[in-house]
Amino acid sequence: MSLITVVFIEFIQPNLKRSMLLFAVSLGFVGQLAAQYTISGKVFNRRNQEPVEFAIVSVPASGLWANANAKGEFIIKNIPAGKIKLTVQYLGFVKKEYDYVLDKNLTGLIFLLDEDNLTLSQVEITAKKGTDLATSFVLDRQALDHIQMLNVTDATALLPGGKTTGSTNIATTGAQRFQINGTTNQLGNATFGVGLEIDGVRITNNALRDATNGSADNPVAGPDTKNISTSNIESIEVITGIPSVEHGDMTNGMVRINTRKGISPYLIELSTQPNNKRIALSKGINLGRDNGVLNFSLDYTKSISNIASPYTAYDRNSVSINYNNTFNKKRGQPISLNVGLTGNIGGYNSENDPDLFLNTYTKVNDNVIRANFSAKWLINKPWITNLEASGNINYNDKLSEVSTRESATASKASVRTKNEGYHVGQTFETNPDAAIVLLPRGSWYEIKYSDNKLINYNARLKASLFKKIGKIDNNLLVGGDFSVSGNNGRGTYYGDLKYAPSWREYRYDQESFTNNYAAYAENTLTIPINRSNLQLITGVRSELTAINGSEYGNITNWSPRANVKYTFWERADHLVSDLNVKLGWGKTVKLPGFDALYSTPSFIDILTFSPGTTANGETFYGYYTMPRRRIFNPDLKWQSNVQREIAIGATIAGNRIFITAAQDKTNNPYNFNTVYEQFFYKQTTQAHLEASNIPAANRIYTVNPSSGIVTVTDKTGVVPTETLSYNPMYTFMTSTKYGNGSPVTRNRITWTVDFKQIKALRTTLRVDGNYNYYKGLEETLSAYMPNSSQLMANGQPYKYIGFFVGGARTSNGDITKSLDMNFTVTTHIPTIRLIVSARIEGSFFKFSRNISESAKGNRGFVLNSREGYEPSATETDIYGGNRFIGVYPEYYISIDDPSVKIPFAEKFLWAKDNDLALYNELAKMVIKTGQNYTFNSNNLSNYYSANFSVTKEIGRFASLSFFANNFFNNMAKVRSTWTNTESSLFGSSYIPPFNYGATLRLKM
Amino acid sequence: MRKIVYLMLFTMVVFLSCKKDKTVQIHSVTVQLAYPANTSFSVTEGVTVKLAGKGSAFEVKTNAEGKATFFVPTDIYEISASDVRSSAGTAFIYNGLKSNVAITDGWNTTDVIKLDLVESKTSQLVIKEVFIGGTIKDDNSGNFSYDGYIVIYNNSSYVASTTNLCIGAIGPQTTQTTNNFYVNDKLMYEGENWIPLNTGFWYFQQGLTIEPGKQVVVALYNAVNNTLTHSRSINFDNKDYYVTYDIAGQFKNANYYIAPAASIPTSHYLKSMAFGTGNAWTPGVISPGVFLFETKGTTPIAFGADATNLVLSHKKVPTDWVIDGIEGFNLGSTANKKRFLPSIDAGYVYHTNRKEYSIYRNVDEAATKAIAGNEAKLKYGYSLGTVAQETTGGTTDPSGIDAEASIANGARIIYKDTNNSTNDAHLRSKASLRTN
Repeated sequence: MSLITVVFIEFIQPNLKRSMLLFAVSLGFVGQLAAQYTISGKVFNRRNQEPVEFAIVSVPASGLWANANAKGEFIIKNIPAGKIKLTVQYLGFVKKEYDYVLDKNLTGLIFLLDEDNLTLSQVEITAKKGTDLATSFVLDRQALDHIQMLNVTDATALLPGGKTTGSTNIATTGAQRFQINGTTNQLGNATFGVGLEIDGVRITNNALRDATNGSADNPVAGPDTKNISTSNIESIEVITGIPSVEHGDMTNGMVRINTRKGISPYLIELSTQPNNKRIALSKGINLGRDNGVLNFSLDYTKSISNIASPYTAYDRNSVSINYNNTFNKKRGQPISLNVGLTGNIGGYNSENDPDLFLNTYTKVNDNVIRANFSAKWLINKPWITNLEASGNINYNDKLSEVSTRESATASKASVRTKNEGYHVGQTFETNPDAAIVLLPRGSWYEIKYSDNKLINYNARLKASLFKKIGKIDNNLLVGGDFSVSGNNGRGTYYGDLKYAPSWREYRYDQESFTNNYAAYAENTLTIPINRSNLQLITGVRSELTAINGSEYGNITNWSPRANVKYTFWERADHLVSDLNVKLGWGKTVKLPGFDALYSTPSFIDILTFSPGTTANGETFYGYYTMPRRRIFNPDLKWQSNVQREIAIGATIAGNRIFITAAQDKTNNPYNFNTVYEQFFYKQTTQAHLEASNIPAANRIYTVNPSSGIVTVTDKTGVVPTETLSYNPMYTFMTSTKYGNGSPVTRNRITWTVDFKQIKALRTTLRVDGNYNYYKGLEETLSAYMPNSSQLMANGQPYKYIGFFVGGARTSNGDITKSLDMNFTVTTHIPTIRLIVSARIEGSFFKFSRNISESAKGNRGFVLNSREGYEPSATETDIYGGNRFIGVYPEYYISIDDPSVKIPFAEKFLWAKDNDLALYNELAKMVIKTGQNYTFNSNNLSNYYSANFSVTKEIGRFASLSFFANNFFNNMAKVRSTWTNTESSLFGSSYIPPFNYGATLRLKM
Repeated sequence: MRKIVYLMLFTMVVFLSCKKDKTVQIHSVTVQLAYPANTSFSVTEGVTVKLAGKGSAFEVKTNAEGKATFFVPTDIYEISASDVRSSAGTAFIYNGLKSNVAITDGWNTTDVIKLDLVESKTSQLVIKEVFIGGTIKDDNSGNFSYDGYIVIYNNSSYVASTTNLCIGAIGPQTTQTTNNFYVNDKLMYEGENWIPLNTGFWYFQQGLTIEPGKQVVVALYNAVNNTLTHSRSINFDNKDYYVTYDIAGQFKNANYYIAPAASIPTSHYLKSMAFGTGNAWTPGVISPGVFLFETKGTTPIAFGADATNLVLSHKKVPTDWVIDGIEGFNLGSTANKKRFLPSIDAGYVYHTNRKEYSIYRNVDEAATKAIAGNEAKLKYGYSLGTVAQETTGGTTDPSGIDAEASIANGARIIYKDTNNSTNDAHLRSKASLRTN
């Protein structure tokens, strides 16, 4: 413990180094001197006075805990003396917290738990601030029920300043991803960096492939969440701050989903929205006689893309079973065991859509098996307090099957060879293994499969040691993770090779899995200082990633993190009843996806020979094939994020305020680059065949695989074999290279203000919001060719490559600023079990601007005219408004000698007066804006949307919820200063579409 | 809850109470034709002026002062007029077009709208037909889109010889989407004597000579016998046909450009020059805008390579290079915007793809009948218009002459060429090269 604390103390306060060092080290020697006591008692349901079996009674600060038995009895021994906070909780009940000053054994305590329903005086339907030191927000069951999620990502609307999703259905092949610290349209792979766990099972996209093969999904993005059942969730915790070192492989926030565990009645949910229907059933069964609790949950969700044609759908058929029990209770060293299994069968399917041509469809499996176990043992010895072991496995079958009707009116080449060289086509009947298969003219079905089967499993072991020295609590946590990720998919393949287009087999299941070993240690120190309190968490996580079969080998990274919180006071009798300030600093690391680690083979096929098509629709193509592999980048660094955060929390006259300001700097975000290499080849055209004496119908074409020389043989043997002449050609070959982009900066301020309830109206007001600043500027140098098949004025292929700072685009980044704020008015009337909320989601400031900058200053320049290529002599500010902007490459190379880097601007301006032909060619590399408003500031006028929700409980056994999003169906207009135009909010991405739905819940 | 219900009821009452009956307002609108200053022709009686609104269209002939007076309801109108005069055996065409003229409730009936006419001349070569919408596959699995073609026709009495003939498409590709060439509701090149060429263009490898009344078929994509697979498609396996095929160039998308029929000589392959990024050339599938031009004082290669004549990623083609052009409007849209200048095509013809339609030029009945011995060979009863199929936007050849049947019968056809495709062309239900 002490070592880590000392390291952090050195980090934050060097001047206190000596005194704190002595202080911290001393803890280890005096820790065992504190007196210890026992707390025991019973837990009952307040309503019926029945025992709450399995209720969890715990002292969180010390890690001590116990489960109530069938009589509701519990006992916790060896609790260090002093001030403690005791919590009592169980599924379906409101969590209770009690403060004690422990100076003797406390026995015979009676705790009465309230059932969690709308008869309570206070119900939260918004995101609550989490209790951990890491800044987080928790959405519990009441809040989730009230918004009636279709997908788990809908919950993020309840975060400060969050916005309701614009999706009214999930019947799409696209993914639904969490966006926490950053959004999809920003640089830095923001959704890829979000960590997602369900009951400790990590959901990851790392092993998904096809980054550059035009896949609808994108491996450099977060995992799809559509297969996660929304009906069995007890809470969702969203960590936006610096998380515990227990969590790795994430840079942009963490989402932890907890499912229901514990005794509960049958719960039936019937939910309907125009595009979606859902039926769910769940129950927690007490197996009796200390045999534990078995929870099961069934969820059927059908989402259709078009209510007028309800055939293309996404189906979710989820089953989950969870067993938990506590053993060894009598000996005071309970072992809590939890075992869970979840399965989902479903996915996207358009097979029954009558609007599609017969037998054409897209099916995408989204089948899942998740298994998890955890065992937590309260050993409660001087050398260890808790020992926790857990393991889990996640398997996700994402096989997609796409059937299309294809046709060709003449032979079509399907290049299959993996070998470099010249090849000529053959029919499948002649040679099914031909380098180039000639698909015959006609019509056929092409069934393409893309098979990703993602597997990840891990094992975790962690131990905690609590010590109390006087009033100081110290909790040391050490642990280790071993996780494995892999892909057992076949990759892309076709149902019938006779009709498969150009394709090469590349099986993902033949690639190695990656192993990741992590070790971490974290120390939590709590120091009461009079009425104040100082909490300090310091930790470090180290990971070793072992990648067999990859050039990257073994890579180690470190993630130090710290949070410190000072609570000035907590006194209910003060106007400011509590006040605290928190500081945080931490580094998180995101492991790369498999597409970066394994060199996915690719092939470049150049058409080199195409004789004319015969009257019967047959022809014979020749191609030069060049195998390419992703280029190994020895300088590749793991993407990381450093966050600095300050947060203030206070309660003033009963109004709760929480404000946090954070800066995220994402370093070395993963990106792709293109690398060009010169290449020369021979091209034989129809013109070279025109002198042939062999009748077209009698020709047999062969090509020398290495020289590319085409010969024509007379199948009748009458005419001697002919060798065709050719055109010498050149081009640039491309390869991709995984690299690291420029840093991305995100600053944000978030706030929540929960005003005290107006008791006369039983109404509360919550104001939450966020201010976000983002700057993404890509400054890495990347190569660009205007068009690899573009001809120059002399009829030859283009022969220059330009190298641009931040890519060949006019802007190499953008700045966005936004201020979103939501007002939620909630009226809760416990006596009639009713809660009504109206929420106005407002955008009060939205600014964006493209930027073109480099380390040298401005990267783009104002063009001298709309049609021009040179900088203006009078205008220099590209942000001056309504200006056409150009960008030059830094330098360029020629195929004649690629090693010579020629400064572009200098040569280009010289060529204008001295070499017009060169000027015209180089001008093709000048990137210009198509409109004069590209670099205008874009201030969007304010806009609003209003959501309305009602939940009414009908006795204890039923409840009905109704929601209407954007229920005024706002059709107002917003003005953009970018183009100085107005556009309607209706049908826009700014606000959600009008949507509504209802859910009936029955308890039996 | 009750408050919210009251609020909703109140809102409905407010909205319903705002509804009121409207009476149709009729306005008197006078259009004055204005001929170019440098012409010897002046206003005359009997020239047809058209007002086409969103909901209705009107035609009125001018009086002796060149004025036409309309009585029309409130609407946004497009005003057009077309006049053909001749002098010393040369035909002069005057076209005028004014779009987005708002005739609203505050219209001052004493106002006179001046419609400037632009002079142009008839061409030897005309685009007789544009087929780009595709044919329906035999198995009904969709549209076969790779059988587009255009037909270039010598509409004159003299042999047409060109040296640098090119085929281009005006930008943008569609008429109903954003057109960045419009600035303040006016085409930025109006008055600058150029039109924007989109993506790239094709040029004939050598000079092209076409006899009077003869034509050249240029297959745009799969220049093979497509009917072997899709019987309603086109058979391009013909030694006389030309094809846009250049595998050494940029346009080589394998779906569009398969090896042409061996019967087509390689000298009939058009070469490409590209300056955009696409790998296939299209004249605009939904609303084609095709034109023929001939480079003057430069070669097509040099013209294509010249970086200094680009604007908004389009190449500027001088209007005096343009031989003929046809403007297709999207039949399914009310947001079409003109791309061609009136001197090239002052009108438009509606087009839509996936219905096997082509744009086909109308017959100049008077000129055709004037050819000695021709009248007896003409076949009337033309039935391939689309008036029946498309109640809005469908068109037919008003002459009633079946041009293809007449040509097959030995007739010589003179097609309408007033540089106004509203008058000169129609939407044909079956491409002329289709045989079944």
